[in-house]
Amino acid sequence: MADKKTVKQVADLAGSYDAGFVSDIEMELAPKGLNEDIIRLISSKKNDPDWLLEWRLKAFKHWQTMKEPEWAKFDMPKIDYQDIYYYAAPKNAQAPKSLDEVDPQILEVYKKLGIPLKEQEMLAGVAVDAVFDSVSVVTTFREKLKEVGVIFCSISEAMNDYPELVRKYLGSVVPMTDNKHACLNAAVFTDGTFVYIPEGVRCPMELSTYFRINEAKTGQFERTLIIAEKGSYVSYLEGCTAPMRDENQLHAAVVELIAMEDAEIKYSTVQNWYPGDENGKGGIYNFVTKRGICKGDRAKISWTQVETGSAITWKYPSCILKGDNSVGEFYSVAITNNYQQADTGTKMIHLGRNTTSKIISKGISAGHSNSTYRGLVRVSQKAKNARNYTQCDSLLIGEDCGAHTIPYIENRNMTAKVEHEATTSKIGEDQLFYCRQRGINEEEAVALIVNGFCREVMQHLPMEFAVEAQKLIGISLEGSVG
Amino acid sequence: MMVAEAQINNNTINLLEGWEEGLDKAPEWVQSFRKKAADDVMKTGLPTPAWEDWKYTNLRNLESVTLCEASSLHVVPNISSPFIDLKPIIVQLFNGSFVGEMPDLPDGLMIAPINEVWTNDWFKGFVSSLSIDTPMEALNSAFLNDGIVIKVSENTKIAEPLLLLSTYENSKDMLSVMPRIVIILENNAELNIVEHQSGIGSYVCNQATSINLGEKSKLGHYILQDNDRTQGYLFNTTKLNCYDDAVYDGFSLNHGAKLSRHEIFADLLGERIECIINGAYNLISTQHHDTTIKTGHFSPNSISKQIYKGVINHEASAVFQGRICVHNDAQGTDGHQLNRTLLLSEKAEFNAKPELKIYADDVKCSHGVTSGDLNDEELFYLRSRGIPEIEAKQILTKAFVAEVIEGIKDSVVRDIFLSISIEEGTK
Repeated sequence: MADKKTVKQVADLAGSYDAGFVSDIEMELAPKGLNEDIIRLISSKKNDPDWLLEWRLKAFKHWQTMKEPEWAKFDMPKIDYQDIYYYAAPKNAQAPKSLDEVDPQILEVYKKLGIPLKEQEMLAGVAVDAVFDSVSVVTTFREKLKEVGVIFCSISEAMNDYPELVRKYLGSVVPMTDNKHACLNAAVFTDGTFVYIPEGVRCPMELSTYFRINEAKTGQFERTLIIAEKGSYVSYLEGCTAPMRDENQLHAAVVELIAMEDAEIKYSTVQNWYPGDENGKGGIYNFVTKRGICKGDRAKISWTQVETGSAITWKYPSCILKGDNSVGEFYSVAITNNYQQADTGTKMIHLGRNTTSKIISKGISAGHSNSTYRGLVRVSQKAKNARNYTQCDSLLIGEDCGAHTIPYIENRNMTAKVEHEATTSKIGEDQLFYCRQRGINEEEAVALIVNGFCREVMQHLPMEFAVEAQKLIGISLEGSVG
Repeated sequence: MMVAEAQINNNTINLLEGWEEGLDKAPEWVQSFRKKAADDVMKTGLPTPAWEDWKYTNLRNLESVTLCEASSLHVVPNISSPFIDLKPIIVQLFNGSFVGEMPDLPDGLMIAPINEVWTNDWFKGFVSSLSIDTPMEALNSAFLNDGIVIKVSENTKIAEPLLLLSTYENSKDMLSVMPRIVIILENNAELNIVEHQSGIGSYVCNQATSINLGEKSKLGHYILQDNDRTQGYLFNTTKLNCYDDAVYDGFSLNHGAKLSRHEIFADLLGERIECIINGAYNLISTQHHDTTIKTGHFSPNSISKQIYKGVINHEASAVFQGRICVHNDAQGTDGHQLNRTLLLSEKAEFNAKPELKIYADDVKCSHGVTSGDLNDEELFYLRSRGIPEIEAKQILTKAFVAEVIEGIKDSVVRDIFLSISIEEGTK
């Protein structure tokens, strides 16, 4: 809920992109461009096992034959894949064992971002696997998690320490050939997070990774793999901020979730990557493939996302509801301003009996931006008594923006109930008037109303994120009124 | 939407067969109009599910059909239509062309076969200005010859409804007909049209309807589509242009064909237009029916509403695609769309893609889609009062469809639609 405090925070943060700074830490860069040699280089830098190198090369070979997906509602220049660095690692980053070994400048960056690692280590709240460009630098709380058997580490570490687990599940939900961006990721992914929750364990803390793109012109290719065994529970937080810069950056991540019988995975994202300036210059291209599978009966996967950043967002966190009685949820707020473009939504694939899914999507467009909800609900013939409820609401601020809703509904089972509704409207004049006559200026009033509009989604965010997300909404809409 | 890469298949050639026939008798502009349309079809081929707009409708089965020419008719078919009760002005089309005698027409109403008026400037002006957006439309245009024009002059209100009886009949090979219906209402004109389409045997009917509604005109356009449920292929493309303060009240009850698609493009070009496109479909056996509606709001303060209700039984499948596009200048738009579909069998299938594309901020737009089977509690309620299950299902299904029929503005037409049985679809 937006209250006075939020409005004040919005006002405090007004004026600039808060996370926009570049730190000059020495980087180790592989040459620009993509070819087999680069992939071999990445592979050797990451100490890949042989099967993984082969996997990468196979993906690369397939990637070359794939067409760029063109169905999304974007207007963007062709990506020159040969003009991108595919590997960047901070120098002197050979596996520090404690925070003391970490480059103090890196720690300074985190401080600016508001991730007080040291404090967090003390407060038994959030464990952070902080990713600085491509190499995971610091991982905290691993020991504590180990006690209950939870594995929380970077995926390259997992590759060495738990090769069978990684090999078994990597690419099992998002096959390497899934789409062009996921395929590219399979070929060049450099890091990411691996989480394994053993049977019957409730993860004692919220797991969190802060991603950050730092060196100019490095694409970030993260890969996240979360496995929740029978009867386990985990809540995972992903947050992004990126420094201000002029050139478009490519980000193609892949996230795979696997929930076994009675397991629950809650995945929350706050995405605040550099959206480009008021004239649409610069900004991140964010092409993410996120998919989870409810493998066992009564499994549950819940996606919550707040998307405020990136010049282009292309993202459809999906659930495959294979186990009987499994549950999929998708809560999303997507805010676009200036010349941002977002094409985002979800897919709910009902395969098992009595599966239920719920989709709540709130899109807010301002300035010259375009936001699109694109979703699929598919009920297969065997999905008896499946249930879906979808609600997509769009809010328009200003007359130059666009809001679009493109749902696909495919029902092949008579006992299934599928409902979809969508509305589009602008901020009510009466609501604005009410706020203004109480002395709230127009911009603050808009932030307040928008926060109310999004409340249904925001309340699904973990506490740690809720405050940040409210701030973001205000900042994202700066300059959209008046 | 046309696909960039040309893909010519046999199928296209099949349906295009004989398009040049009678071309030399047509006026010059018709000749080039038809040639261009035929070129378009050859360039794009027929749609495939790879085309976004045809994702759920596959024309593959059309490939295997052998076509024959429309046989000329010697006997005018007997009139049988529930709408005779309206005491309407009756015009009959058989296999796409005008048959029988032209009835006496009230002042201000003009009805004529297309090839009798196509030398007129107003006809040329209207038809040649229409964009061709789909291959089915292009295919129809390549054959422009059959069909009729209905025109109401300025400030004329036609009291009697017009009943347009279209019959398709064929017993031999697949018959292919490409009729064009042109409806023009000049400023402040009013007319109610009931179109009763029925077909027997195997045929491909690809009808295009072009409607122009002048300022303050009012058109009631009600369609009963009652074709052979197992053999025919039916394509219907309706293009609707509305100007300031026009009112369009449309309703269609579709019993489908083996495969059918009704595609409607409604362009709201003026202000304060009220455009209602409602309908129902009732499918059995292995029928496939596709409803695709694209509404474009180009000017401020217009209202568009669509409600479609569907009942799908056996192994039938239905598609509902609707797009409301509100362009930049169309502030104050009110656009709503609702589709509800009942699945009555385990093998029934339903696919929907309702779309909103909004570029103006002062709008109220919504869409909704639901699908599922009959409500168990409602069934139980009726059964607990001694009504057998089958009857209870029929009562509920009928009530479900009646909800949309009740929206028809003309009360007499409404009552006739309400009396049409849909029992066959519930068994």
